[in-house]
Amino acid sequence: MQNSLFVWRLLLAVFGSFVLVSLLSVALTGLLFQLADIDKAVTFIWCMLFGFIAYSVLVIWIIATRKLLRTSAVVLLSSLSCWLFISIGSNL
Amino acid sequence: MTWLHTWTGLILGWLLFAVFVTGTLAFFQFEITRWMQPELTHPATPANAVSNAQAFLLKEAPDSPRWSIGVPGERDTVSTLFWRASDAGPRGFKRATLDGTGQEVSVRETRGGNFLYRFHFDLHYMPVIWARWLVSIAAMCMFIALISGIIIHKKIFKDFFTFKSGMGMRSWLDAHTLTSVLAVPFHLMITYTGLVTLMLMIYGWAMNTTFGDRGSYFEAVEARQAQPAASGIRAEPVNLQTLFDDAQKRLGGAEITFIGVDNPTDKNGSIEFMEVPTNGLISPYRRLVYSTATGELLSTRAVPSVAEQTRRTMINLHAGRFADWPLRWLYFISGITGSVMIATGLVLWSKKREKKAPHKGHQWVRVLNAATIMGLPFAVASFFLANRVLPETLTDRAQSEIDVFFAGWLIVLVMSLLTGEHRRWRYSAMLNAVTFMLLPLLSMITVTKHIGTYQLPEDSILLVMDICLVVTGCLFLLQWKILNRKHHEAMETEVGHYAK
Repeated sequence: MQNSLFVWRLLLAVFGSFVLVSLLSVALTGLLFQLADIDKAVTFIWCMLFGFIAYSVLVIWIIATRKLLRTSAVVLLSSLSCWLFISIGSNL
Repeated sequence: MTWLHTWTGLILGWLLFAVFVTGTLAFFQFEITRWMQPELTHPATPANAVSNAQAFLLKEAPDSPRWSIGVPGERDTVSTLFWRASDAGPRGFKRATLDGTGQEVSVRETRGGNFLYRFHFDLHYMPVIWARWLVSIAAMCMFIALISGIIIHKKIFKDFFTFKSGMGMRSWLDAHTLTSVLAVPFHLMITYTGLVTLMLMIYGWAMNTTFGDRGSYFEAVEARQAQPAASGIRAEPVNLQTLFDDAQKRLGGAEITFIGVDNPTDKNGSIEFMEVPTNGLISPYRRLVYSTATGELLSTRAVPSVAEQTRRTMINLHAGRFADWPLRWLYFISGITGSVMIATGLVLWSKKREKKAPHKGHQWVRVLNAATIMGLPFAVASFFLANRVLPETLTDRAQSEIDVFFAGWLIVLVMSLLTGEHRRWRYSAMLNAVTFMLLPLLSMITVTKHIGTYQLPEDSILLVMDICLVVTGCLFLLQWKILNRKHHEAMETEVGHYAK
């Protein structure tokens, strides 16, 4: 059990964080373009530039958290929301 | 947190060490190339490089749809030409290097310092895309190791003054802390900006989802205007050197090191001059487009957004293109400090575990530590050695030099496998010392331009390079002496212990 939790924590930190950062940059670019007509290229570059810092913070947070269940829920639900937003946006 | 720092540091530490060392040497890639082509007697200058390139390309590739010209600058002493050709093999283009007289440089075929530069992100003997992903993952690990390292060392400035030599593992820890703290802003900057150089690949999925494909992204970022397609009507290009001079005047003397020519002998042909940020950290990155048929200025554009300007500034910060000599040396010293930080971290990892719980895997870590930390400098020395001893007429000579680089690395790996912990470090230190110090002497036998025949000031770069090689050799000799002394002290203690 302890080992499985450790593997889950590691996978969530390495891959979950990357997926969330990627989804967030796509979603934020689309959102700011639709809401405020901000140039997609500009938002996307800023998202990429800050993405590395966001990724590092997420990895450290997931590795260090004592409430793994709550952290997992936050990461997965955020990723799901971004993915839904992107899917709905592309179908409009 | 300590756990995260230790493991992210170790897993890709060996690769990071190689990236750091070769990347640091790449700050002097043009100077290294100059040393590796000592026969070059007529260095190219921007004053006639473009007209020489035009004459060469009109003769060799008049019907090519695209010419690219790498113009020599303050540090680069040759013009590098590329042109698209249908018979050019899988890469689709041919290449030539011209000297100051406009003749193709055919002596001593070498990749020079460019190999070290490319190796630090493209590696070798593997597809470029795999190599770049590996390097990106290693850089990301380093970035996380740095941040978590800062969190671990809360008493960062107190730790800074605690270095004590000759205390075994404690000294390794202090040396690791010292080299880390000393240049931590540099390490953070170089790792982050390194990631920025590869970020379009890392965010490939996000980019394609947002923009459709890579081409659309670049169109959106650069607000690029489409150039007219080839008309099929032939038109001789005007003198491109005059267009180059005009572009330089319009750019206020800013350096232009890259020129792209589309459809050079067509009525709709165009030539694009790109400003490079060698004058300062922040640059407008202007591009001027002229018609090759009429010489008319078609468009001028600068980088359109602060976001893109920030990205390019980060890349400039990483590559140090703007750096003058003192700053370039500071970059170099900081890079060496970074390499030492990784090396001491790797040694510390195995020293820590040596006493606690011996494990077979730790033996492998120790072998690989020595093979990487001592093997890479020997690989570089072997690369230089090959440059001096391989016959000039050898087929695929440049690749042979690179093969010798890896053979040198392999020799130290085999030596590390076959010898014990103390011997492998001492032997490889001596091997490095002898090889580095031998290089200037070897030049005296194999090339005409060497320490005895240098003409100053024009050959001062070559002289500094030779001095650096000797100094590197002396540092390895010092390492050998220290390791030897320690080994004898340990032996004496052991003998004394048994005598009692």
